[in-house]
Order: sequence, then C-alpha cells, then structure tokens
Amino acid sequence: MLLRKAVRDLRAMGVRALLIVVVIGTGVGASAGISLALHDVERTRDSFYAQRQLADLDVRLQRPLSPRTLRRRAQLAAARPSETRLILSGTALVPGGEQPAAEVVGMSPAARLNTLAVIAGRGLSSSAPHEALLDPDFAKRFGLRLGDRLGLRLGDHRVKLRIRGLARSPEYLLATANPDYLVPAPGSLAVVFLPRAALQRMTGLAHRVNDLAVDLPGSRSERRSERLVAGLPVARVTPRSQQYSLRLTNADIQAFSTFAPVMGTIFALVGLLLIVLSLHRLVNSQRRELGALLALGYPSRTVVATVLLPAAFLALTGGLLAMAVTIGVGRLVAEEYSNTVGFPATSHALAYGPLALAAGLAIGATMLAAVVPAYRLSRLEPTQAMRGERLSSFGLPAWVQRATALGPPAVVYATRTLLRRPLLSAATVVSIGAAIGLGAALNILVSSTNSAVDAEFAQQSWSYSVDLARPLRSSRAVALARQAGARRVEATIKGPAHLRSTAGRGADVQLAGLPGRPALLRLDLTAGSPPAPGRIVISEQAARDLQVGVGDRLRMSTPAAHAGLTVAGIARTLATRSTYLPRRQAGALLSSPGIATSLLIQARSAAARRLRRQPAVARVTSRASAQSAEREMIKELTGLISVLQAISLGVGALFLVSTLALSFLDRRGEFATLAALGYGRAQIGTAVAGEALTQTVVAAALSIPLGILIASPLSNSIAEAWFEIGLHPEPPSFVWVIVPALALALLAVAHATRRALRIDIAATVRARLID
Amino acid sequence: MPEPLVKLEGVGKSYGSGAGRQPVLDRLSLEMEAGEFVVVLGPSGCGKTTLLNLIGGLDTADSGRVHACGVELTGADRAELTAYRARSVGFVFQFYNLLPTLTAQENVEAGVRVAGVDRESARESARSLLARVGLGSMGGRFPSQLSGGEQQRVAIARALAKQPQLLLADEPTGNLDEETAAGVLDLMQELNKATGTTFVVVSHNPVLAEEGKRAVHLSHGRLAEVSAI
Repeated sequence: MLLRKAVRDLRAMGVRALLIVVVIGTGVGASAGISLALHDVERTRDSFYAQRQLADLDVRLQRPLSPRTLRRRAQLAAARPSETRLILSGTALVPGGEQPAAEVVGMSPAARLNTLAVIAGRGLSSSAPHEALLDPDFAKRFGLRLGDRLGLRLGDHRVKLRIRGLARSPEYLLATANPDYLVPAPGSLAVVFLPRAALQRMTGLAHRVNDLAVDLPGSRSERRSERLVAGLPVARVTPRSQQYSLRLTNADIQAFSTFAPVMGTIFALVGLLLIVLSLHRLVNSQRRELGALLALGYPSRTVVATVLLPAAFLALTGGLLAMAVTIGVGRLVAEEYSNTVGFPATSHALAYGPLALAAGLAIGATMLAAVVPAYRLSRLEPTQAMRGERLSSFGLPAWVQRATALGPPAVVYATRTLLRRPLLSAATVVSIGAAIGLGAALNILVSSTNSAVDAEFAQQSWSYSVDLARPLRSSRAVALARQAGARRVEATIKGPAHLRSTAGRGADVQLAGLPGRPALLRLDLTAGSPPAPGRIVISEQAARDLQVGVGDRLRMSTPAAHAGLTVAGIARTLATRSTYLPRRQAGALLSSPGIATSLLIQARSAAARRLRRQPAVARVTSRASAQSAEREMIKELTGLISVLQAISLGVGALFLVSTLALSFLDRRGEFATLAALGYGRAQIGTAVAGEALTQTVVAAALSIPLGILIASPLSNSIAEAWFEIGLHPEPPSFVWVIVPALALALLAVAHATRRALRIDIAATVRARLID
Repeated sequence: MPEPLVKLEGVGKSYGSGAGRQPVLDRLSLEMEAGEFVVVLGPSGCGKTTLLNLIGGLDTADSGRVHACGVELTGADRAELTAYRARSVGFVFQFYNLLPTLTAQENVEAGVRVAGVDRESARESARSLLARVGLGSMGGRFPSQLSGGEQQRVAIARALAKQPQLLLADEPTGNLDEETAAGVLDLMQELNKATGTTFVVVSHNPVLAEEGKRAVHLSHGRLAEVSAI
C-alpha cells in the first residue's frame, strides 16, 4: 500500500519531482564532475609519464661537454638509466615571417628515458638525419603537416628539416616559450626532436652534449643529485617534482579542486531547500488522509514512511543523475582543459571517489531534506490532521503593514506574500543569490586573473626578453644588444637554486641576478625593499611555501655555493619561482661572476629581428606576445568557466521555477479568488512578477557580497597554485550573470502566470483558505 | 416589459468525458429580474453551484444561452468574462476567500479597484461598506484575526464595494453557526433592499427559502419548482 501511495505521490508531484531530481543531480554532478576531470587529468599525466619514462632529474649545462664526463657523473651518483642529449635553443622560421622560439632536442632514437610518443608519422631514425619530429601543438598553430619543411636558426647555424612525425615527450608535455610563467601557451614553442648525432653534425658540436637525464632509484636521491651536479657548469637542474607540466597540472588541480566542494555545497543546499519545500507541500496537502491513516490505527512509522519512500525514490534518481552528470561534466571539463593547455588525449576512468561523492551528496541532501517533514509527521495527532491542510494565518506589525500597503492591490499582495513565510523567502533569496553569486565569483576570478596579468606586464619597461644561446660576459652581451639597436639593455644571470628556511622548509627556485638599480624589470614589491647584497627578494608564493616574511633568514644552495640570506622584500610576480639578488652576488653564487645568461631590452621590432639573427642569441620573446599568450590562455579557460556558469544559472533558474510553482500550488485558491474578482492576465501577472522579480532583484543584490565571499577562497586557492591574483570585482562580472538571471526569472514568471490563468476558478474558489 | 437581468435559455452543462460524462444542468431556462433576492435550493449535486458559476462567468455552458447584466456570456472569451466579473458581479463564497495577506479594508479595496476605481474613492467606499456591515473598527485586521462571521461580512462588503448589478453567494452561511448565519442573511437582505443589487444565493438548506423573495428549486439539473414569497 505504501509503495502504491509513494508512486501515486510522485506522479502527483509530476514535473516538480523531475525538477528536484534535475536540480540536485545537475548541481551536485557538475561539482563532482570537476573532481572527476581533475582525476582524469592527473591520471592521464601520470600514465603518460610512466609510459614515456619521465626522468627523475634533468641537468642542463651552460656549455656542451663530452658525453663521457656526464656518464661518469651519472655512474658516481648511482643513476640508472641515464641519457645524454644535446638540447639547443633557437628560432623557428615559419611561413608568415613569425619567428617563434624553438628548442631542438638531439637524442638517441633508442632512448630509455623521456621517450617520445609518436602521434602521427614515424619515429626518429638515425638513417634519416634531416628528418625531425615536431610538437603537435606547434604544428597545429602554424599549420605544419607531415612532409613539410621547417627552418631553424640555431646560433649561427641555419638548418632545414623535413617533418617526419608529430610527437610528445614527457618533459615537454606542456611546451611553452615562457616557462617562467605558470600559464602555458600551447604552440608557442617549437619543440623539435632529432637524432643526437645529426644535431651534433649540423651544429659542429660533434661528440658534445649539454643535457643529462637520469633516474635516481633508491634512497637519498637529493644528496645524490647534489653530488651529480657539483662542479658542473649547470644552467638548470630540474628534478621531476619541478618539471613544468607536473608543476602546472599540480597547480591547476590544486586551484580547481577548491571549486568542487564550494560548488557542491552551494548546489546541495539549494537542492536541499527545494526538496524540503516540496515534501513539506506534499505532507501539508495530505494531512487529512494521513490523519485518517493514524485514526485507522496505522503506526506513526507507517505515516512517516509515506514521506521517506518518495524521498528515497527522488534520492536514488537524483543520485543516478548526479553520477551521470559527473561523468558527462568530468569528460567535458577534462577535454576542455586538455585542449586549452595542450595535453595529450585524456584517458577517462570512472573514479570511485567523485562518483561516490556525487551519489552520496545527492542522496544525503535529499534524505536530509526529508527529515524535517518526517519529524513533523511523526508528531501528528489524528484529530488535528483530519482537519485538513494547515491554513494560512497571517499578521504584521503596524509599521510593516503601512510600509507594504503602497501600490495597487496586486503589488501589495505580492509584497505581503514574501512576508508570509519570511524564513522561506529569505532561504529562497539566499539560494538564488548563491547561484548567481557563484556565477559572478567565476567572472571575478577570470577578470582578476586578467588584471593581475595586465598589471604585471603594464609596469614592466622592457619590450623584449633575450635568452642567450650560451653565457656571455655581461659587457659583451649588452654591447651585442646595443649594436642590434636596443635603446636600453639590462643583463641578468639566471640559474637554479634551492632555498631553505630556518624552520627546515625548502623550495626550488630560479635565482635571477639584477643590476643595482633595475630600470627595465620592475619588481612589484608587496612588502620590504629591493634586493641588496645579502638581502634577497622572493615571490609571494615562495614566501608562502617557506612560511617566511621580510627580515627572516634563509639559506640558499646552488650547484656551486651556499649562502645565508635575509629576506629583503616580497614581490608579486607571474614568474612564481623567481627570486632576486644583486647581479654580482647572484653571479658568485652561480659560479659565473660577470656573466649574463639573458637580457631585457627596450627596443623596436627591427632590433629584435636583428638580435634573433645573432648566433649568441637563443630566443627573443616580446612582452606583448607573452602577455597575449597569457590572456589567450585565460580566454580559453573562460570557456570552461562558462560551462560552470551555465550550470549555476540553470540550477538557479530551475530553483526559481520550482519555488514559484510550489508557492503557486500553496496559493491556488487565492489566485482563483483574484480571477473571480475580475483580475485579469495583466494584474495576476503583476502579482506573480512582483513576487518573483522582487526575490530575484534582492538575490541579485545579495549576489554581490556573496560572489565576493565565494570568490575569496577560490582566489586564495589560485594564489597558492598559480600566482597572486587579488580580487578585482568589477561591475561587468556581476552584470553578465545578473542580466541572464533576470531574464530567466521573467521566463519563470511567464510560466507561473500562465499556470495561474489556467486555474479552474470555479472548482478552486470553493476551497478553504484561512483559519 | 424590461429585459430580465439574468436570462438562461436551454442551458446544458456536463462534466467528465466519454462514458463517464455526467450531465449537471439539463436544458435549464430561467430568468431573474433586477433587484430580486433569489434563493437557489436543491440537494447536493443538483447543479446549484454550476448554475451560479455560469451566471458569474466562472464557467461556460456547453449548450443553450446565458445572458446577464447586458452581457452575452455564451461564447464569451476569457478576457470578456474577466471584464464582466470585474464590472458587474460580486461573489461571496462559502469559505469567504479573503486574501490572507491583505487586511479587511484592503480586501474590500481589492474588490473595488479591479473595476477601475481610483485609490482614494476605493478607500472611502471600502471604509463606508465595512461600517455598513458592522466592521468599521476592524478594517486594519487581517482575515485570520477575524471570526468566520466577520470574515463573511468582509466578503459581502468586498462583493458589494464595486456596486455590482449582481451578487452571487455560494452557501454563504454553510460554514457559520446558526446565529451568525442568521445575522449574515439579515445583512444580505438589508443590503439587497438598500442597494437594489440582485442577490442570488445558493444553498441546500430549505429554511433559507423563507428568506428569499423567490426560491428556485433544482433537481437533477432541471428546474423543479419556482416559488414566489
């Protein structure tokens, strides 16, 4: 009997039951879908690393050495296997005159570490020395296909290669021309793979290599890696944990992982409220028959079950839908992410965690929502219940009564309706406000990220950054740039370093040596003062990782030296690993006094072109292209954000439609009375619109503080993962979600008004409305 | 001879469909004059309320012709019926049907303003009508703060506030105790005399027939008897 009644009740709920399932299933599923997508991304990355044997450690040298020297070092550090490679920076010469940065990797076709995943064409072959494999994102960006020829400038060598295949390598999984910035620009770097011997021959570096990739199995790998690099002319040491694609995906996973619980909580609360309202309505409309059951001798638990059974059905259906949406959104987000950052084809797996979270949250919220009406049912007295629905009882303080008596009767009626159940109205407004606020928060994050990127680049005075092909004396490097036509030049030296706080916290950083008074690189100091001898400036992220502030002591280690330093200042920068010391001290720590590895210049494009032709120059990147690459990336990410926004607004709209429908069901008699009195479409529409729009407008106003409140933890999460973006709530962030929300509210009003006008007035006016 | 205020000719109305179709009114013809106080009597299910709904423009007939207050209701569309209800008819329901979030005064005003009366006139008219039904001091109360009898008085004031030609009351005393019911009926008769509005009161209580000037008895959807008092 109970089962039959549950089925009948669900049929009576009709579209409302469907809406409940859709609201809870979509909302919770979208949130869990993000978790699933992050799981897929992590899984894809890790399985790619495992299949392609990503090395534990990569050591890049300032100048090529004999492979025997490096192999001996590897043996000493008990590293196995190991691969020696020749990796040269340069410029790709592509159709259209653009000169994007290139990195040419000369490697063994039978390498055991950092092996290539060939996506199209054929793999490397020693018998085809002039045929290369190319990064697929670069090929896609510049329209290069198999068999095409690609020109490269490597120092004073120009080479032309035929594209034999497209391939990804684990170390260039997310290849970008600006690895200092933790926002990749897919296709910005031409990663070219060649047989090592072929590259050595082309560049006149026979039997010379400048890169060692090793695995360090066993314990004390840190100590062994220090021993491996000690005394070598090291340009860069990249342990697996600092590998760019690993750092980036970890950062993204960390940043986005906050989104899932925040969104999940909001949607679960919205769904919970909707279910409470629906079940409350169900119980209220059946008080008489439930009272009759009690009077007939049915126990309270049977009556309670009449609520729990439909709730259980809604919970299970909602849970199933949540799991389906989790899978759908998970795949959508993972694909979108992969396309945006240039990831290999994502492998999808049905991870139990996010699916269980989706089902658990949907079922849990639904059953929790059933508790309140079930409790009320358990306390129901048969005599009281058989009197039928609890009828309306309403009163207002005199001043509220006066304040709400303005306007035509339809408006007064709408206003007072909102005050009839103030808690319910408040909960409805907060729920809609949270849904709009979530959309606004996502906009705030995007605009804040853009602002942070723009602010960083806007304050810089350099127009091009120049990476040198090999370290040069600073004076010579400066002269080189000036000869090319640069107006202002600053030489810098960069190298790997490790910082350790007195509390034992460590961070791998990039040490940059700046001139005494840098005029082109402007540090955005959020605390303290510029670098000085013995006084280092670190990024906000490094300060957070090391848990240090201005005045704290740090110990810096490089492959060549150690030094005790004091934190002079903390800088806000997109290059989150960068730390800054005066050039003289940095040169000493990197065992390269008076040496420059890169330049910042202020110059016209003609000077940049001339510099690109210099053999000593590896690559020249314009500030404008770096900025636009970052903005492009953020723009791509907004596609992802738009999906979440659409879901958020959709859930908000469904919620409004549902609450209006429930509110309408509660007041059918009143609308019928208005119709009987002669109120027509316009006036009843005004009453419904007044009620819905008031709620939406208040919710929209509330969405402003709520949006900022929601954006705040998400912004902190992004700051920890990427870079400090601050919070810049601008009017468009809100307008872009509030306007669609109001439009959706109007649609909901039109729907509710149509229903109000379709009432069978004659039948409905005979019902009792008031105690 | 003046045109009757309400004229029904061969009106038929059924509910349901197919085999389950249930005729409620069967070729009913009836006339009511302006200023009359008509009581419609009959057992449950005989079609009293349906008759009232057809005259009030809440429902439409399947066959025959309904003409009231100079408006041809047969074939009228939704907007025309709404306008007719707004201008010409006042309703009093068994359960009063006051809007719970409006005060007594505002409920009465709501009945007037729908007819296009301006706010000030509506307020004045509501105040005077509430005084007339003996609730002059209770205009600021919400319906749930009034007794059943008081609510029904407010409903009568609301129905009369727009000065309709026709007031239709469906079991107006059905939810009241005997004494209160008598008071409400007395009030309606008094108002009928004072305003000249035609009152059509539906009831299944034969005692009420004594109160009317004319009693219409329905049986199985047909006119069984018309008795003048």
